[in-house]
Amino acid sequence: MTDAPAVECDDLTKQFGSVTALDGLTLEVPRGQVFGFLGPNGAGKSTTLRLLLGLIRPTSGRARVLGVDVGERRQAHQRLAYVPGDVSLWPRLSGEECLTLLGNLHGGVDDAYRRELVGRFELDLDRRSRTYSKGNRQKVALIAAFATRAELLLLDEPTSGLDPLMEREFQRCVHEATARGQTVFLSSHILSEVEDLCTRVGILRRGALVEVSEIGELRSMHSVELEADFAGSPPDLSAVDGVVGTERTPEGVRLRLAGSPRAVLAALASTDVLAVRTREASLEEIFLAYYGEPDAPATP
Amino acid sequence: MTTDGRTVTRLAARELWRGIAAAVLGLAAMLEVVVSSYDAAFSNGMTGSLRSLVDNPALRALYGTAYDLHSAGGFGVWRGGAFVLVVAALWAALASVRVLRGEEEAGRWDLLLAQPLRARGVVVRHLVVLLAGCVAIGLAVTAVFVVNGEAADGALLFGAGVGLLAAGAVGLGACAAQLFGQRRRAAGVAGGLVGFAFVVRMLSDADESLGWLRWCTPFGWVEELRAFADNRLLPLVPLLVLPAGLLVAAVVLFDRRDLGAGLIADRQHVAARTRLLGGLGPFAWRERLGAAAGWSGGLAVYGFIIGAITATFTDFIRDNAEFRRLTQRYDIGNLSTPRDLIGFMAGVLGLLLVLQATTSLHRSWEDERDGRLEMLHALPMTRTAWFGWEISASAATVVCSGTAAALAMWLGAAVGGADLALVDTLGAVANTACLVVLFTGLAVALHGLAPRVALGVTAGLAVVGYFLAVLGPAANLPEAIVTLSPFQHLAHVPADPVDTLATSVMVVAGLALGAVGMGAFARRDLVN
Repeated sequence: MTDAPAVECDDLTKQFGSVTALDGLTLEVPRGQVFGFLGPNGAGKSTTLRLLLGLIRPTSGRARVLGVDVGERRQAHQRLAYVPGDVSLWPRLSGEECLTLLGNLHGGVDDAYRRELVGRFELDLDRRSRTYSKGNRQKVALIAAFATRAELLLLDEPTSGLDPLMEREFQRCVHEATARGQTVFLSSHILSEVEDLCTRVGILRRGALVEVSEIGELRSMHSVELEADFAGSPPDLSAVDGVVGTERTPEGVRLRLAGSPRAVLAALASTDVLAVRTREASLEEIFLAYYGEPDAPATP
Repeated sequence: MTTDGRTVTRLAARELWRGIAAAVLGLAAMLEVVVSSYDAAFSNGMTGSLRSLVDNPALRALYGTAYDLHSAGGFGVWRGGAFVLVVAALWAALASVRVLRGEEEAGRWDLLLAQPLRARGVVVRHLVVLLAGCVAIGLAVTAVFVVNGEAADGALLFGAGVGLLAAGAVGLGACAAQLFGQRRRAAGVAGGLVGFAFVVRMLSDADESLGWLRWCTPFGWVEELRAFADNRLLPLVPLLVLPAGLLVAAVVLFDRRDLGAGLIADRQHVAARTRLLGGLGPFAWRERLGAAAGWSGGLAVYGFIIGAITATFTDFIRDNAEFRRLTQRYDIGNLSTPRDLIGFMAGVLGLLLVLQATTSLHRSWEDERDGRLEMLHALPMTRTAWFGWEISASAATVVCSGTAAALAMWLGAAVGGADLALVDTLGAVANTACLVVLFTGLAVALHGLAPRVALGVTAGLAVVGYFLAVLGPAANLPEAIVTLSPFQHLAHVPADPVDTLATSVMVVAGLALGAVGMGAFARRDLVN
């Protein structure tokens, strides 16, 4: 089982009552990757992570982590660590006591590394955890998770309460983890973080996976944005092959292109076009297209 | 421009109405059973000997001084008053802390007070809703007496006493909520002070020379109203002044502090104590240590009093043929020896131990509801192991306080001159273990199937079951209903042998329910 993928989901579906939080997710994350799991709020990122941890049970489909069925919690959890999106600690325990408890219950914690992490994250361990801010609670969870040196780290929006300095420290920890061969499954909606850390991303929207690819690939797939100015009113180009989105500009139209621009260029040739500009879409725009807009590209 | 403050009132009412309804209905039902169980023959036939009973110091400490036993009203005030007052005061103090500190601690007041509202107005509106609850309780108490045909003036006076005492407890809770930054601490202090005030009242009734103490505690003021006997109005003055003063103080204190903080700052830095953090079992126990100490202390006091009144009580029953006839009619059985009596009284301890077990298991749900299980259950363990340890730790706290109660009861019996061995009191308490197993099983089953209602349903059924068994026969409830109560099937150990059949049925049912709950919890989604 040592060569099993870090995460395997097979048609994983979760319904809460009549709401489908996750709809037939099929996904495989190989070992040693930093996998970015992107999506807007409510897309089903946390639901996926909680399914992978066996905190909730799938309505249908199945999932395995490191080759172990997620239902086998004890066995599966021995080799993974988790940072929840909203960290709740025991209010009367100090930070030190929380770390001791979590370490004792997980077993096999690298004590020296934990001490180092406490210093790097500048966490005051002597305070009761109820006095901690969201960021400090997150630090406790991050330190506990990284100190286990677990083969798989499941991180749910781990930097949402951290300041930029601490965010950088977190990124260093992720790099250290991957250097040791650990797999990191990182859910996020912060693009720059994903861009810096992840080799591969999956994009989730309304409970369904709309894209999985390498970051570079993603960029090239949706790279072109074309603006055309016209003397008169612009023609309707939305039906032209390769055009996935149109938008009016004061001078003409802005087109988002997927695939070859040949058809668009041919169509433009027969109009009273005055000027044409092209530009690479930023990663942010690509994600925005996936996230929200009704004409978001399905599979190009 | 300010937002319509009535929205805040509605919000407070939404948070509180269930608790108010439960307190009103529960207290009225309890009082109704007491008042309707009053038997005219009971007092008229033997007022003289009953006098000697109610004048027993320990019994007076427990129930207070009886001023009138010739009417159902006076009897109800004496027999049910202490219970009604303590429950009303505790409810009021804890509800007050819950809305005035709990909501703030949870961070919801940050959002609320960011609206264009006067902060003081928000506090006042919450207090008004709490006071409306106190008025409802007072009216319900009055109504019970009036419906039973008792004198209206006495009914109104005692109702006012109960309502005003509850209002004072609201003020106490409100002040504690200003002083302490954590709900748990504020609730502990407020609840502790209510308990302290009751103990002062107990002392004042236990010995004539301490009678003046009655004027030092709100519970004493209500007693001094002497409802249905002398109907005195003077004690209404302190009963009115106390809540007024405390409520004003709470609002003033609120104005002087930061949101989210208490006026008494708590230590920010603590030295790490890593004992009992080594595993699930030790940690579950560590989390329950404080509660275990509190319950053990409380039950020990109660056990001591029961032990101390045993000799007087059994002497009274031995000398009183009329009372013996009554106890037989109400299916209580023979109560003429100390062993009979503690066997009978152990039922109350059984109820208290059940309530302790239920609230202790409730912590497991609080951990889940507050999100603390997210990280815990991502650790290498099974759900069954975790929950098993939680149940074991709860059971261990019950064993502690049960043992403390039995020891104290034995000690009290020795002080009061009753002939009881330690094995008798231990046996009487241990005999109630089947109830704890049964109701713990129910709580575990509900934790697996419907965790939100587990505490309410389990504790509610236990209380109803207890009162069905104790007061049902006297209130002429049909046999078929009374027999449903598990408390009804508890043998009077040590005088009688253990009812093996009933005990086995309860234990097996408890274990079966527990197994169902375990299985359901292992399979269900953790609440987020």
